[in-house]
Amino acid sequence: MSLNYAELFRALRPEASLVLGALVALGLDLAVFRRHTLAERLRLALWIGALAVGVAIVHVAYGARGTVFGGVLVFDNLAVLTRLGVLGLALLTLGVTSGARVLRHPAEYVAILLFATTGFTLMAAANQLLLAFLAIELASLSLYILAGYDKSSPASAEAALKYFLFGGMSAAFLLFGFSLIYGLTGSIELPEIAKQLGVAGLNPLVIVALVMILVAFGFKAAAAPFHLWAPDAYQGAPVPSAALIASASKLAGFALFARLLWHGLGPVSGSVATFQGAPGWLPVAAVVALASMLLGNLGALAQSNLRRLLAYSAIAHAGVLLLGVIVAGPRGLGSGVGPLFYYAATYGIATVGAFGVIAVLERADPSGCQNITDLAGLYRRSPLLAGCLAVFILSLAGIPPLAGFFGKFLVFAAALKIGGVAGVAGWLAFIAIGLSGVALYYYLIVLKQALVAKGDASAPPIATPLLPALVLLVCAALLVALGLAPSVVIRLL
Amino acid sequence: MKPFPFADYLVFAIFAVAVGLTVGGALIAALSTRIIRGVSGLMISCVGLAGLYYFLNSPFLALMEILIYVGAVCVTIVFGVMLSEPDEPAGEEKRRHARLWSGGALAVSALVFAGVAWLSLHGPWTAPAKLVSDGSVRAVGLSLLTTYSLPFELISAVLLVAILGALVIARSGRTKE
Repeated sequence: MSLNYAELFRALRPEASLVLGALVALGLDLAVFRRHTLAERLRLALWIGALAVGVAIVHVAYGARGTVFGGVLVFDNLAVLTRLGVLGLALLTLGVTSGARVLRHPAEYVAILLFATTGFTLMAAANQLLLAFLAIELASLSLYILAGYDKSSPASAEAALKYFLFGGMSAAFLLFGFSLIYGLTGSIELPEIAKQLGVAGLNPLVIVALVMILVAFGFKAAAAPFHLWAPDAYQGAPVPSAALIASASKLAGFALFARLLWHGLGPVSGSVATFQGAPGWLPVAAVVALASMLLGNLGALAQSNLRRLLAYSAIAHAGVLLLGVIVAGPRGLGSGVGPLFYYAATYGIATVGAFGVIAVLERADPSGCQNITDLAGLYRRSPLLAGCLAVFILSLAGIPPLAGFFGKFLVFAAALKIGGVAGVAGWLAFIAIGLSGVALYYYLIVLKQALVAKGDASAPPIATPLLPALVLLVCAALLVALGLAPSVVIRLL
Repeated sequence: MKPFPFADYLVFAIFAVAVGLTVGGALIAALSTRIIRGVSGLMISCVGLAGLYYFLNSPFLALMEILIYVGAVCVTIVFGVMLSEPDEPAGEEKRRHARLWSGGALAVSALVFAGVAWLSLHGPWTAPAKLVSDGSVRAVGLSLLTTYSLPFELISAVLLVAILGALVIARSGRTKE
């Protein structure tokens, strides 16, 4: 194995700029801005963070391609696009942070957010079990801290604790599964694992390892029946943290999941083309996807809290994303992963936007955005917020011509191509289409409150600061533009 | 050279001691209601684990287990216990059918353990053709700075985040409203 450290450093310049940005934000805050107000310190840290993410985006766009450092990292189209996607979502989250309630220790908040982004970018390119695990843990650890950041709220502590306990347990499952894979194949490099498993085939120990890995990813992605932490975490965490948990971490996680399952464990995938398909992880993933779609959509019907509703809808979306993973691979992770990436990226943009609206509402009135009914009269108090929220919610619901519709369309079309209506994947697509109707119902309840309900006539108008307003408009514009021209993204993969 | 008499039995006895320490310590840690006893159980369990690592040809890992877990982690927990509030009395068990639930959980975990153990003993493990590394400090150091330099660096980032998070979350200021 040839080791070229200069090549490794060139490939990791985005991560280096993110870490450097985090350290500069911490150092400047400590040395110069100690005596300023929290809002000023937050603004400075946010600009440093945005600069770091911007530099990282440039480095990714003009950075390394191919495998690096003996195959530890791989920069194919999926990796590069996912890195760009998570960096873009992190940038939007920084914008959401500027519109949210200011918390104590703002520079540390931005620094940890940048570290989480470092984890996401590494997850997108990891091609080795050890690096993949460390990248996941760097991202997860940062997210636990971000979830518990609001020290004035017991709900935030509860969110962090639940997220941490479930996340820690899933890390143990993941590590156990990885160790079994290593013991059976003698390698931690994904291509070598695939080669060994192709020879050995499925045996009981491989099944145990697959179950462990699927359980762990189920926890991380909040797929049913491993979703129990999600509603509390989404409800209690500070709004920007919840936005990051729901958007960039989903995109990076599912990209890594698809790569690990198809590139590493592809030979034991089994089949979902028919109902009597070969055993493997595909049928299990199909069951988890079905459970997530059912539980997420039906659970969301009962919610009166806006953030819990978003959490249950996230569980449902995780089910569709799993369907995207199922359809990604059979022809190799080339163009097949297009629907998954497009769905995850556009879902991330819509969620960041929705949480951005919640952030501005919460800043205007700290207790004012708990329940869906609190949105009543929003169209009068702030037409901008109501309009943007309508775009985000309609995109989540999958209404054309917004991007959410084409995400669903691409995933379902790909699923129907596998074995048609005779296959498990095709039936999953039909069930998902049916459940989209259920989803439309609870999304429209939110919109009805925001756009139609009269609300308190004496409620004052809500002023949106410039930067968050810009972020919301960018999110909405992206959803419309990507919906009108989905091929721009699809062609890149 | 004539081997020491009963050498095999001696090795087995040491192995049994290591296993006993690991399991016994873990039981103490899990079952005691006082936190300081739990920490002591954790320490004993870690010493036993170090012995198991030694049997797995990893003297370096065994050393690190003692140095880091027994020497640093557990001592830090003891400091944490000393500096925080004294033991609270064990609360009343609120959940009904607690015994039933714990019995069920025990049965399920025993079944899973038995299943995985049986599979592990009969699994088609790949045996490496030669010893990959001798597990010495030199071999570990070389691989950490060459093959695994990237994960090694990444761990430092993880630790930095952990320190930052501990400072931010645990430092004074979490108020009850």
